[in-house]
Amino acid sequence: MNHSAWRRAFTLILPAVLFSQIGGPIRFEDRQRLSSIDFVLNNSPTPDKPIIDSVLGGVALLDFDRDGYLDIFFTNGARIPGLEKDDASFYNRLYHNNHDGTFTDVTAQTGVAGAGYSMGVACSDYDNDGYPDLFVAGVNRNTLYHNNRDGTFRDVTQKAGVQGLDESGRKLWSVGAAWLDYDSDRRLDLFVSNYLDWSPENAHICGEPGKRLSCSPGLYKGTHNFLYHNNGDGTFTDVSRATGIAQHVGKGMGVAVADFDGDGFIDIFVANDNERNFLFRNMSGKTFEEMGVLANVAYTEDGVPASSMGADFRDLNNDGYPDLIMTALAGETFSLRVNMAGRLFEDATYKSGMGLASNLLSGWSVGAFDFDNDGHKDLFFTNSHVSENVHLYSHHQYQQANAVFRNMGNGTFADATAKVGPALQMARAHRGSAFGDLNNDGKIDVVVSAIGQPAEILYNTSPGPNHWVMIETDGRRSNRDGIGTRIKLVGQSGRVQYNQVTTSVGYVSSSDRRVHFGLGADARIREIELRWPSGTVQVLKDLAADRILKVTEE
Amino acid sequence: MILLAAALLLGQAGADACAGTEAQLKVAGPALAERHVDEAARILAPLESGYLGCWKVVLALGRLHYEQGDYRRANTFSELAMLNAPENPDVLLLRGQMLVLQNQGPRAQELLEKACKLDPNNAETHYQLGTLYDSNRRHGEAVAEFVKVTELRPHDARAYDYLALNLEPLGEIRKAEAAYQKALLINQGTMADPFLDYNYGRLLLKLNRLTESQTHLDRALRLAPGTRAVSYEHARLNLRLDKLQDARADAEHALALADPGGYILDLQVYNLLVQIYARLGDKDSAQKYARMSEAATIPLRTRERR
Repeated sequence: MNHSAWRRAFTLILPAVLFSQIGGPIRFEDRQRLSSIDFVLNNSPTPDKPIIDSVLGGVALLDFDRDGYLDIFFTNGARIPGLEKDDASFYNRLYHNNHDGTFTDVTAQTGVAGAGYSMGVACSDYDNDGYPDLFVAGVNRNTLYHNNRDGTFRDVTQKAGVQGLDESGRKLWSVGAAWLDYDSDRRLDLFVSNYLDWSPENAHICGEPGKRLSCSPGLYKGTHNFLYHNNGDGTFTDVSRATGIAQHVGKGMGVAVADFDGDGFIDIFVANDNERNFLFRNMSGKTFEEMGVLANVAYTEDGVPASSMGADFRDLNNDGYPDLIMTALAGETFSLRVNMAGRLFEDATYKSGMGLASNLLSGWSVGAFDFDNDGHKDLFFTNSHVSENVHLYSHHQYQQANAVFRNMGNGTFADATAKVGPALQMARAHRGSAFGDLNNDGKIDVVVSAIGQPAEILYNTSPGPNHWVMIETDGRRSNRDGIGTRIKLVGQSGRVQYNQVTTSVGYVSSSDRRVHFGLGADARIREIELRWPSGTVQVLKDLAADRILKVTEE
Repeated sequence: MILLAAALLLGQAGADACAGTEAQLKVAGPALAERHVDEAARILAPLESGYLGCWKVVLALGRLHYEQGDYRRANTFSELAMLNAPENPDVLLLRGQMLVLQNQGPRAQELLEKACKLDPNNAETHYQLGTLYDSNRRHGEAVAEFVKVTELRPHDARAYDYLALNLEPLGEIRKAEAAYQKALLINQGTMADPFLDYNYGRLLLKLNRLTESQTHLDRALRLAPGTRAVSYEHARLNLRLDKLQDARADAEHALALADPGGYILDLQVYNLLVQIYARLGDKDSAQKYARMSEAATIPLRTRERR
């Protein structure tokens, strides 16, 4: 090894060693019982196990009243086969954060109980009024709620034109959604993932009587996804066909967005169930080129489609390019793709240790966050098999515990679940999850939905002494939320990290839009560079850590 | 018609129908069990014309035809033997094997499970039942059967290989590796396993032990150069080792090989080639295989989510 190679290796390895030495244990505590949150995800279980009843459960963290604390929204099912919320147990729920660990159910007064069989949720301030709005995707009803800034929401779906109808006027089964400003016009657009062509009339029944299983999605035709362009006047235009999105038919579930090639335009990843995944490369805000196969994110490490569910699109190795982590069913392994300088992705599933470690897990949601603030993003997975009776046919288990994998800082991940605490030992039918700091203590908490069980309100109680910062972006020439802003942070020690503003995380869920960085031993920050969607590059220097830093676009 | 005539013959046979065959059967049985097929054929050939009234001869001939790959005749003899000795575990074993070949898994399983109960010390019956569980992805039950086989027939490398393959999906990686290593020590003779190195090399690749993986996948390639799965895996290893030209050659070779068993789909090879050419910077070839991948038919795996 020559001198410069040594220096490069040293530069790369030394900070990793330093940080891993100070990384403390990761701990979570379920405080659902103390929280007054009584939400139970009701999928309307029926003997025939129709495919809709297994894929719901989106969760959102949003500060709907702008009081500085995250509130929690849960989507919910509806009565099968009518698909109406004819009972309060099917209502979507919004819980207001009381700042003391307790929450108040404000569903009725805010007007977000919803209609139809709901699936996923995406939050962002689409009209740039400073208050987060809500989009709820569903089987038979999509709903856009505008935040009235007075503690209530108004259903503006019809006016906005985002009902989820295809060109023939048929409602497609929507599952996930993401807000992004794909054409950098300062207005957030809406991408909606659609699953498959199911109706009570064409439903298949699988498995033996009394031991029904969720049918394979292969029995149904796929559908295309929607992209709605925000016109800036409260209406949207369906540009799915014009941008090339609708030309690709899949079975869409989770959606994650990031600028993977660094060209300043946000790209879209869609996890497809039992079909190849899509990576829609944004061609300068005009059209999209689907390049999942070419980029090596379409299939499993073994070259076949997986039951892809959720994804997070974030820079896991801090090289400036967002990587992809995806969940799938047991036997398929979760999948880790490392971005190779914005050109394509390397499959690092087995190289990273994730492959064998996740082979028995069936995952839904995933989030890449630095739970111990050591400067490396760790991974949290919500788990459960899709079929309730799977144990009658195989060695797989329906109800599973969630999992935490610790980022070792050297390209590998280690399963830390056993040491995280009793909250991570509960085997349940987990589904969606949202990530954010519920109590503003600088540690990322997690809220998880579970079919037929109380939601889990997982507070991060990791005891380490590490420092942190959370950045709240306030766009001026960009969209107000700053969605799509790429942030580079240089700590006092010279350690460089990257992240971006997004709410689209995991499985059909919506996370805290504030961007979190763990800083390890760095009590100060040398520099923060923000690359806003408008093209503005803003640099802040010499900042104190351990605070929520609001940055207004210059 | 042949079956009916033979059945009649068997039905009319008296107690002495097997008289004079004992010596041949005594030698042929172990020869068949150890897969010394030529030797068994030489012993049993003289019996085929004159002793079809004896179900033990019928069974032995059925077993012989099975080992020779003459499944049509093996099927006839197995049916015939079942008519006359439906409780005999060896008869149940042969019939079960025939039903497996005819895709009648549930019935085959029933017969093989019954055979195991009647004769729990028959290694071959446990082996066949284990392979049936394996194909149905009932890994826990398969493991139990192959453990039994390795106890009864400790020189059976194939059984250790199957044991390892079924331990892997259960997450028992250490035990799987121990089984592979045991198999490597005994991998010779009539129960040698030509794909042992392939399977172990694959596990080592998953474990990120690339140098060790290479040792086994190199050997697998020498042992089975015409097998698509082996060339495909060797290409994946070379990709991991960043030996892109070698990976390309292996993957192109894999694509040229027929894969009648359908173990490695064209789709999988296309996708591997996309990655290799993309890493090589050959955009045209990468795009060509990407288009082929996107157009490839993907078989529906199961109706249900299991």
